[in-house]
Amino acid sequence: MTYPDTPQTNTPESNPVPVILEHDQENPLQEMTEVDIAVIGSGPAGQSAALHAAFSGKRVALIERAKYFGGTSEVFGSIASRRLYQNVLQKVTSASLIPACLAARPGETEMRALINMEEVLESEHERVLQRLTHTNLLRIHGHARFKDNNTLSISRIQQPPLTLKAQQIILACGAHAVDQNPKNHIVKDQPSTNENRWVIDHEHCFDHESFLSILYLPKKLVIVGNNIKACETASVLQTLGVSVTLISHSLAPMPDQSKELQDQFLSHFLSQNGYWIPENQVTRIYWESVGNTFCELSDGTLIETEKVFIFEQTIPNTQALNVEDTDLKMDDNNTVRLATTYQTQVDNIYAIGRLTDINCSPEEASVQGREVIDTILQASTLPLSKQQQGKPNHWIPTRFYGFPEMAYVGEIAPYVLPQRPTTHIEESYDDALLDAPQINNSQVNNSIVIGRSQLYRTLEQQAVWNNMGIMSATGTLSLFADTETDAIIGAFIIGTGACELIEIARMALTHHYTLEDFIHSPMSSSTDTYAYTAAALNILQQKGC
Amino acid sequence: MVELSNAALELAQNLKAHAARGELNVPMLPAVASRVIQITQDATSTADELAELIQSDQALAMHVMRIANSAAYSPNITLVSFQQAITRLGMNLISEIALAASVSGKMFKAAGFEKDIDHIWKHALGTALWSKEIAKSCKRDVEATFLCGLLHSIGTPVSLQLLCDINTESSITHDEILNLSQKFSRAMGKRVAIAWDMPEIVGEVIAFTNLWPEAPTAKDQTAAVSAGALLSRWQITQQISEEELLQSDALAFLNFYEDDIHALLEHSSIVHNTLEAMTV
Repeated sequence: MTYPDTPQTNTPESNPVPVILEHDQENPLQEMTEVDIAVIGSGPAGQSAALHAAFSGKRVALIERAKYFGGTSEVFGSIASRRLYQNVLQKVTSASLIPACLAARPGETEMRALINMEEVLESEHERVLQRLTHTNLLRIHGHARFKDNNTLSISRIQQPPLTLKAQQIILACGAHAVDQNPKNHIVKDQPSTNENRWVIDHEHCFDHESFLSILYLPKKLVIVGNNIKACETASVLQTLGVSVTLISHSLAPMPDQSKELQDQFLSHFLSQNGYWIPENQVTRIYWESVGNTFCELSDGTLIETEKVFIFEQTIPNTQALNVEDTDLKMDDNNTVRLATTYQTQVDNIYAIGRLTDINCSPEEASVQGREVIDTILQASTLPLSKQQQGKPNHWIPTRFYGFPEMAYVGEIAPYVLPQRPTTHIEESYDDALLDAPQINNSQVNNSIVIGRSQLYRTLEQQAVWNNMGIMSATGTLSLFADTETDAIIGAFIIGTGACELIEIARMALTHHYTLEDFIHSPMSSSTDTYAYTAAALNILQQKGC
Repeated sequence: MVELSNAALELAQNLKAHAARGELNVPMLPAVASRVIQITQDATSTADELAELIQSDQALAMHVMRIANSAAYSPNITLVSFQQAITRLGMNLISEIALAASVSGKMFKAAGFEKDIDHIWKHALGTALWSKEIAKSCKRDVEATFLCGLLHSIGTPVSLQLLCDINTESSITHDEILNLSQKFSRAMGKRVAIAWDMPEIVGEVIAFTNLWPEAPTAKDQTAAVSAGALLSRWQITQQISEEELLQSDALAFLNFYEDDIHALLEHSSIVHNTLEAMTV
């Protein structure tokens, strides 16, 4: 045992574990430390795995290379989006609901006036630490590299390196944006090839992190990508008067989302004078003058703009792990090759989140974090703790995004979402339609019935959100119930500010609600929550009750 | 540290009194520099406007061409026209070169302190170039960093000039005036940032470069410029050892591991060549 001397905590008697505090001056980490499970990366996947393992009585180390715990992709992704959106909303509200009165003006407004990433990072870091400090896991700020299948060498800033031995190692270190050609500055007369398309210089061409620290709000902007983050950013910046062009390789935006959401977004985007360029690829980005950055598209179109934000093309963070000293195998796209679910070709090394699926959402990653620990615990000879004895994960919301709040709670995704392709295929709007939800007050099959209702919004809220061009100024709730038993199966929620509805759905599933619970619950008729009552009544109406 | 004489202390009081009476004339931001900043922040401006502006000042245009043709920027090609330089280097880079050339040590008139001002200015340029390298590594605030680095110590030469302007006492030594200019640097820098209508972040960096942990809203950016200043001193004066760089609190704050610092130092020849080209 090489832990610092620390008191004992309440854990299963069969597996006493010392409390491991944050290393500090008085309680320094020893040069060689041993744990049961080492988790590399503190994003949603890593956090979830580390917390679940720690609550299950394992000795756990959570290693984060970045300055802040919480995961770069997550903090710069949905959390930053949410903060930017909230700040913009506040500005719109304080401007008497008239966007023209916005203090923010493209070309004149410093981005920092809208979002200060230092504040975002620090506040999120604090939140993450609050969660982590309630457990006995060991937090290490450092850069982990493999020495062998069970041993990590961890270099630290202004501190001596560590060696960490672990029975199991979970890789959860996420992904980063691709700089297409970091060694070669592109100039106008340079021939374009597929391998040589752009340089993210953080002055003309930005990735999903650096765009949040641009100096001034651009007047014209091209966003390359069609994922939900790209669409969110487009919506928010449009609201501030930025002329946005969105370039998508597929026909529909957000191809892995529901048709309903795609339509809502596109309708608002176009109504706000957005330029939507579907089924096209950027072949080259170059710049030659102030205010003039050029995007060359595969069909020969040349777009002149001010800044370009790249929201696609990310690769897993595997390069700095020194995997050469292990028996790990990588796929061509740098994702970790798996032997079974989460388990790599090395028995004791697991990979989760965007390391194995570049499109993995934070919520899915979080679920994977719990599941990988369940997998490890079930495989181990140690007794299972109370915390992990067969707890179902189906009530955990998935695809829960911040702008607007949108979540699928329960096992309803097959009824709502297009199926995600397992390999890269050309997206087609028609194909998406085939899998799009048919949830307009109809019975999906004999066993499930869906009730739908609009969210109640005050006129003031609607005015603000409509003015902002927000995708879902009103919002909808689809409630899924078992036809025979009236048991609630799940809910699909879209609506700005509808977090409470997502939580209610979770509560309904954990407490095995039926339609009756919603009908007889004192849901306030002047709030969003009444949507549950309305949806339940809608189901009863369909059933002819 | 220089012990200040009574006469020097009186000069300091005199400068404060001038400031209190509103009699301090902060040097004007050169018209060309002001226009360059205006153009780079206005999306409707065209490349032609910037080219025309720079070419309207023959000395500046020649300076820009000389730098554009230097090994740092165009190692394998000779640029013969201004338009070619713009196409080759991009207008943002040309703007930076023009800004560095027009807001230079030559703005300041302080007899007997020319070499000091040149040294201060070379350090400021080095800081700007290193700060930008750091910001690129951090993926943060790259656009504003060059300007922040360039102006982080603008208060020193301005103070130097004003102290020389109001000094009538010949017994005050060269070192004493230099020392006073450094003492007034921060306060004067803040006045300059306001007078020149700089973005807020520039004012904050000027005020907190040496106190970056106390920067209220832009700690990362300020730490980047502080670390840039350290790297600039390391490169120009060789008074800082590589070991001291590895122990830099500002770089540690920005999450630079030892490997990252070594990777950063690999840019030293690029920064050196650029610095030499810009300070010819």
